[in-house]
Amino acid sequence: MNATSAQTATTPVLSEPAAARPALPVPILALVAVAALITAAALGLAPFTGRSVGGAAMALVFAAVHGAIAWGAYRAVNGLRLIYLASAPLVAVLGLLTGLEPRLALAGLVLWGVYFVVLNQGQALRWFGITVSAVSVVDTRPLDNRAWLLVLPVFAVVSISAIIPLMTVVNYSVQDIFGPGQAYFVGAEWFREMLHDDRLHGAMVRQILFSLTVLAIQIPLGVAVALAMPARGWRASVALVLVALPLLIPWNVVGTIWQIFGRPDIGLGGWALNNIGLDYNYTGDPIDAWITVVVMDVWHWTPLVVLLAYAGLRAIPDAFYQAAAIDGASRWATFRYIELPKLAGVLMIAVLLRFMDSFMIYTEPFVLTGGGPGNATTFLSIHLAKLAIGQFDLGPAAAFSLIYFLVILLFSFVFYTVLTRVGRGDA
Amino acid sequence: MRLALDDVTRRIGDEVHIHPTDLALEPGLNVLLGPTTAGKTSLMRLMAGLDRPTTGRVLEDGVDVTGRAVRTRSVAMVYQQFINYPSFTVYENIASPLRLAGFDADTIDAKVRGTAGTLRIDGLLDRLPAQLSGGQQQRCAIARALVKQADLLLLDEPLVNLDYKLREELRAELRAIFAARDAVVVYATTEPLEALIMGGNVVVLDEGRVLQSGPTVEVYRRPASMRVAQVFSDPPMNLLSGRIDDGRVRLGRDVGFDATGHLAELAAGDYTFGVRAAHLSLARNNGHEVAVPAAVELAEISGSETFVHAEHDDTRLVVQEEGVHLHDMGRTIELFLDPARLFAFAADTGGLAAAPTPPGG
Repeated sequence: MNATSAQTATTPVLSEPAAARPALPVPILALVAVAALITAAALGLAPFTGRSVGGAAMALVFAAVHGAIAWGAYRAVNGLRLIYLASAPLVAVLGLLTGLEPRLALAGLVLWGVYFVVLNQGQALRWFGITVSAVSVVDTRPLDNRAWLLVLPVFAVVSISAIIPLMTVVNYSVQDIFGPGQAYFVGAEWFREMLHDDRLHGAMVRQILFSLTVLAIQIPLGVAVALAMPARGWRASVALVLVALPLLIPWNVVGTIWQIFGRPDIGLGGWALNNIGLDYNYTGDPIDAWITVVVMDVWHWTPLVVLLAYAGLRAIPDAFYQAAAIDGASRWATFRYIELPKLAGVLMIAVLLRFMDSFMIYTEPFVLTGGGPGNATTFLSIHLAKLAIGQFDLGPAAAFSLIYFLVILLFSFVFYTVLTRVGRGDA
Repeated sequence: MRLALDDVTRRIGDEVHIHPTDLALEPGLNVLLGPTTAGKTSLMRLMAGLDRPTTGRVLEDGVDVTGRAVRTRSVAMVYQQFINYPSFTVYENIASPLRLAGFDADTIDAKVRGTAGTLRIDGLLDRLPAQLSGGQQQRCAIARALVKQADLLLLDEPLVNLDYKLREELRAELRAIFAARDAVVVYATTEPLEALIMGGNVVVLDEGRVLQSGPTVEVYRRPASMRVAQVFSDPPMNLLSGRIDDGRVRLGRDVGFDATGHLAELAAGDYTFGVRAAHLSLARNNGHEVAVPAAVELAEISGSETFVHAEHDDTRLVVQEEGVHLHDMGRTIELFLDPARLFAFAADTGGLAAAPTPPGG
C-alpha cells in the first residue's frame, strides 16, 4: 500500500505491518457503531417487551461498549476491535443472568458477529480463508475523517424515522403480545403462520398480478405519450402541466374521484357505461372492481412515466436524429435503435419506481373499494392493515410486514440487476 | 460531384441564420472556418438536405436537389458529438448504412473490415460504443460516414471533443483519407490552425455570411477584409488605427515610420493596420523594426509559447513569444513591429488595402 498518509494524525495502537491491513475506515466504523447502539436500544427498550430487565441491562452494556467503539473508531485505535470481540460473550452471559430470553441473547450474539465483520471491512472473513475484493475496502488515508461526523444529524433523523421503527417491528414479530407488560417470546411462530396463510397467499397473487398489469400498461403508454408530446414552445409547457395534473392530486382524493366517477347512479363514468348497455358495477362485480382500480392507477401514475421518458427524450442530442435521417432510418428504426436504448436508463428508474409503488398501493383502492367486493381487490397493504389495525394481531402483522419488506427488497434487487444488465449498452 | 449553393438563405422566424449565399464546392477538401454561431452547422444542414433553404437552390452537378429527402441523396455526416447507435456493436454500427442501402452480406463484411482497418478500429468490432474511449467512438462514427462512399461528406467540428494529442493524430489520418477520395468533403472548424493544417480550400464564415473563399494559403495571406483576418488568425489579428501622410505611416499618437515596400503604394489617408501575434516580438530581430511601447496586462502560457497581452494607446496587442516566460504585470515593455509584416485595411470599409509579400514568394 502506498504510504502517503501524511495527513492522518493518529497511530494504531496494535501496530501491524502496514501492507497487511488496509487503513482503518474510521467514518464507516463510527456510523456502524452508532447504528448498533440504536439497534440495541430498540431491542432492549421498545415497548411491550415484557419483563425487560434483562433486555435493558443488555442494552446498557451494548450502549456502553458501542460508545467506546465509536470513540475508538473516531480516534482510530485499532485494539478496541479486540475488546469489542471479547466483550460479546461477556454481555451475553450478563444478559442471561439478568433473565434475558436465551434466544434473544443468541440473536444479539449473531448480530454482534455481523457487526464485527462489517466493522472490519471483510478482514474477519479473511481468517476463514474468504477473500474480499479490494473494492470493498474503504480507503480513507488522506482525508480528514472527522468531517464524516457531520453526517450524524442525518443519521439521527434516519434512526428515528426508519431504524428504530423497523427494529420495533422486528421486536413485535417474535413475541405474542396481550397488552403492556404481557408479552411472550414465540420465536418464528408468526413467520411460520403467515407463510402458510391462505389469505396472505391470495393477497400476494393479486398483488403480483396488479403490479404486472399496471407496469405492462403504464410503461409503453408513458413512452408513447412522451413521444407524442411537443418538444418545445408553449405547447410543450401546456402539455407538461396537463400531463402532470394527476400527480398533484392527494391519493385519497384520487380514490374519491374514481369512487364517484364510477358510480352507476350519480357518476359520469358508471352512468355512461350502464347507459350504453354495459352492466358495470364496481362494488358488486370483481372484474369491474379490478378494471376500475387498474384504470385509476394508470390515470394516476402514467404521468410519472411520461415525465421521466420525456426528460430522457429531450436529453438525446439532435445529431442522433440527423444521423438516422441521413442513414435513411425509418421512424420505427429511430425509435428502436436510438430512442429506446437512450431511454433505457430512465425507463429502468420508471419501472423500479412504479413497481415498488404499485406493490405497496394502499390509499386509492382502500378509498375506492375497501378491498372488496369480497377480497377481490385486497392487496398486501390492505390485508396488512386489516390484520394489524382491524384485528390487532400485532405479532402476525409484524411478521407479515417483515416478509412484505423482504419481498419488495428482493423484487427490486432482481429488477435492478436485470435491468442494469440490459441497459449496459447505453452510452 | 460538384455542389453549388445558389443564392440560398435560411431564416427561422425573424432570425436570419444564413444570409444570401452563393458557393461552389469542388471535389476535395473544403474547410468551413468561422467562430461559433457563424452558421457553419446551418450551412452544412442545408448542403446535406436536412433543412430546406428558405430561398434559393441547392445544385448537385447542376441538378436541382432542393427539398429532396436526405435519405435519397448521397450524403454522410460526422458530428461534434460521438454519434453511434448505442445498442449496436462497432461492426453493426459501421454496417448499418450499408444494410439500409441493401448490399449483400459479403460486400458489407469486406467494406466494414476495410473501413475499420483504415481507421484502426478493426480490433474493436465486437465492442459496444459505450465500451470505447472518446477517440475510438469518434473513429467509429467516422467509419460509419466513410463506409457509404457518399459523394458529399460533411464533418462538423469532428475533433473538437477529443483531447489535443488524439486530435493531432486523427487530423493527420483524416487528411490522408480525404486525399484518397473523390468526394466533396466539407470540414467545419473554429480553429485557424486546423484550417491551415488541413489545407485544401477554405470558406470563411461569419454571422451567417460567407466572407471569403479560396485556396487556404491564399486566403490566409491575403484576407479580403479585416474581419476575415481576425477570424483566420489565432489569437485574432492585432489592429491599430493609423494613417499615411507624405510617405510616412503613423500609428496612434507617437509611432511613425517611413512607408516602404508594399505600404509605399498606398494613397494617403486613414487605415487600420493589422499584424499577427506571431509577427510581433519582444526583442529586435532586424534594423527595420519599429518599437511600440506598451504596458503588460497579462501573460498566458500555452504549451511552449507565451502570449503576452499588452496595452498601447488604449489598444490591446497580443504578442506570441516562443518559450515559457514570466512577465510582471503593468511593466512597460517595447514591442517590435516589422513594417514588412503589416496588413493595411481601409479604415471605412475594412477591405484589404495592402498585404505583406510572403517571404520568399
